Amino acid sequence: MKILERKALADFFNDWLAEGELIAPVEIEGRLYFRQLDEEKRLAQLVWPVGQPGAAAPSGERPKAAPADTLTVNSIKEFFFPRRQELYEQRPEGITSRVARDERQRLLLFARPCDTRGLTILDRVFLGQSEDQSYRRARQITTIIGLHCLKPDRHCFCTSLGGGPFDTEGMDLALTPLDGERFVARGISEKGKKLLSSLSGNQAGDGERKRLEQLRKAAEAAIRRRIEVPDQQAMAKRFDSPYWGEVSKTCLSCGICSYLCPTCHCFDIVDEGYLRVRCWDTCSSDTFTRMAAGQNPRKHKYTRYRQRIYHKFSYFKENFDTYSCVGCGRCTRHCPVKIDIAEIVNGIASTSARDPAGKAAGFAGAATTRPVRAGTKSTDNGAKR
Amino acid sequence: MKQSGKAAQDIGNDTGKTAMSLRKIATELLAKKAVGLVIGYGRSPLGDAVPLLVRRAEDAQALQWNQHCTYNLVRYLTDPEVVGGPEARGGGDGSGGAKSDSGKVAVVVKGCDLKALLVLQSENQVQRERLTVIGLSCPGLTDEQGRPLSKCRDCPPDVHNPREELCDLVVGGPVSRSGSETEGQQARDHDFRDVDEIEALSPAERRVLWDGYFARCLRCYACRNVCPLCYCKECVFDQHDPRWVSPAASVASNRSFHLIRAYHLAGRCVDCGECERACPVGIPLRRINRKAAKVVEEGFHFRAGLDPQAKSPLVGFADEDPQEFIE
Repeated sequence: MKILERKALADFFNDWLAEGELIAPVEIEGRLYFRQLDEEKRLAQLVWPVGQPGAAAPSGERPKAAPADTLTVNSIKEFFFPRRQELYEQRPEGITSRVARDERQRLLLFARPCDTRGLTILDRVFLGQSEDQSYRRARQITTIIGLHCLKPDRHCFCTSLGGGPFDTEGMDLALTPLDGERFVARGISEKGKKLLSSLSGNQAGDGERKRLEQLRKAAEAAIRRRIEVPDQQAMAKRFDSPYWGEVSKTCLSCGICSYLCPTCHCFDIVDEGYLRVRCWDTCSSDTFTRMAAGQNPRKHKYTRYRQRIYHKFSYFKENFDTYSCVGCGRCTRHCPVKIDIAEIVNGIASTSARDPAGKAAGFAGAATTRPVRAGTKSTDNGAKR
Repeated sequence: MKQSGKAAQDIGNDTGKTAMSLRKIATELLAKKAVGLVIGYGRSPLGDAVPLLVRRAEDAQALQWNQHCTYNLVRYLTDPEVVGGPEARGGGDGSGGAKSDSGKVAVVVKGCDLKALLVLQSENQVQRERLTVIGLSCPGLTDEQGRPLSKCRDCPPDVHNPREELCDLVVGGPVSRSGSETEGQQARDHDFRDVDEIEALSPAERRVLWDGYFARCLRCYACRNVCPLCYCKECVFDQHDPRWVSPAASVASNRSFHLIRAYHLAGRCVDCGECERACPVGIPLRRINRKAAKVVEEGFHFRAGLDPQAKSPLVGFADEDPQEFIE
């Protein structure tokens, strides 16, 4: 555990930029986004964490204008699983691969624990049974310097899902801002430990360790939201509940929740002239499951919203033994109608398994109108999971 | 009615009176079965304003009205899953879903939202006789940081208060915003200062500016999906065969997406600002649609959302249309 001065870090980043690429939070019109730093502007664009501890916004309070310690709008996933990725070019003369091969080494700065944990969840998909080469490559050329989170906001609930503001999963090196000028640095992976040993700084003393512990406790205490996922049996029993109609009624079926999510990974393959490209896709869209002949197993938005919840909290759990949600809160924070995933998941258990009367709104009778063969899983939950 | 501190206080000086009147009206409408559904504003457990669909009189107490009630609820009037209709789920199942409603819907609208409703009426997308339109006088709304919304800064006074002759009921107000009478007048005389700023740039500068914005676009389609006037059953961007515009986000395809959408809204967009509010990456979408509105206004002397009978000039033809461009 070392204490790194901001200056030492800046020098290191500058050196890195001579040969490699830097991805870091950049401020654009008052909000932070992860971006690859511009060749010209370089470190001038980088938004350093201010790291004023203990000032976590209580539930209900709006974030203040200064975005330095706020969560970025986008997650880091697009640097591993791009929005649009050229796969190959197919011409009468033959096929040429367009997957990039000669990328430079990348340093990804100040990624929050929720985002880096999200990456480990994507790993299970893209580095699992069938390995995705370009994802593997992007992982290999990227070194991740994580940033512990001192100011979670009212939407955050990472601590209910096995993560935490001081979690280090998925990081190579973890930084905790002591103030604007000094960071506590810990090597996490072999790559990170090696990197840290090459950086100059004093070893952390007892005072700093103590401070770190205080900060961790304060950050964890600042996360007031909880999400409680019902057990799988309970989830299965509520698949046909009219609850899904009620909670999704105001949903606009846009893709904000999926596209900002650090773990959503569904994609489409499309042709652009001779080019074949892969791009993000979202289960909230009506076109996601629409067949060529016009049939659509998820025609209604409650089936699509339900898919999103079941994929994250049921099918993914079944397949990979973890939920594909890290509690970063982006889907709720940026939802144009403020649909609240934590609230909805927390409400599942209190919904009776088959309650034909349902609640006030909703498509009562969802259970009766959907054809489900007894004893088999619905056709609905298999696709693209 | 405060539940979560200062997140969403009831608006300004009427200390929640408007919200109370709204609840009373909604309760009565539902209890008398004059309507089966009230589309209004509620509050989420996190303290945010949210759209709220109320189907039972006893639930009407949850209705809210505060400075974060930005949603243009007219959007839901063309959603068959909300208001029923041939596409709605639950038809014929006798289970008490949308079917059990009297088929009539009450909707809460601000002056700006009302304009979108008038366009829907002119395009025969809503049956006005099925609707109970509850107009709200609006002193101007703010974003999450408490700053006035850009559309509210430009809002002319005749929009602060919804036009009573076009509503069935008007709640609250009338409001006048300090200093806004003159500003509003200016806005009406010359509505497009933000567009002028961009027109003053060279084509190359404009290209850099807009491509910068378009590069951010995720193609989440929130702008389209939140738009009360994007009601096409099959959107051109969702067609697979042929696929007119690639769904993969790139500057080129994003540019096509935004420009095609602007064309489809030309002469129809009422500048309710929902697209810009919904955009997660802060693209100033109002400016695109306002540019189109300016062209239509200058070319056809037409402004959308003023008259429920008036068709957009781009979907009709009139002998007196300017024709200088035809040679």
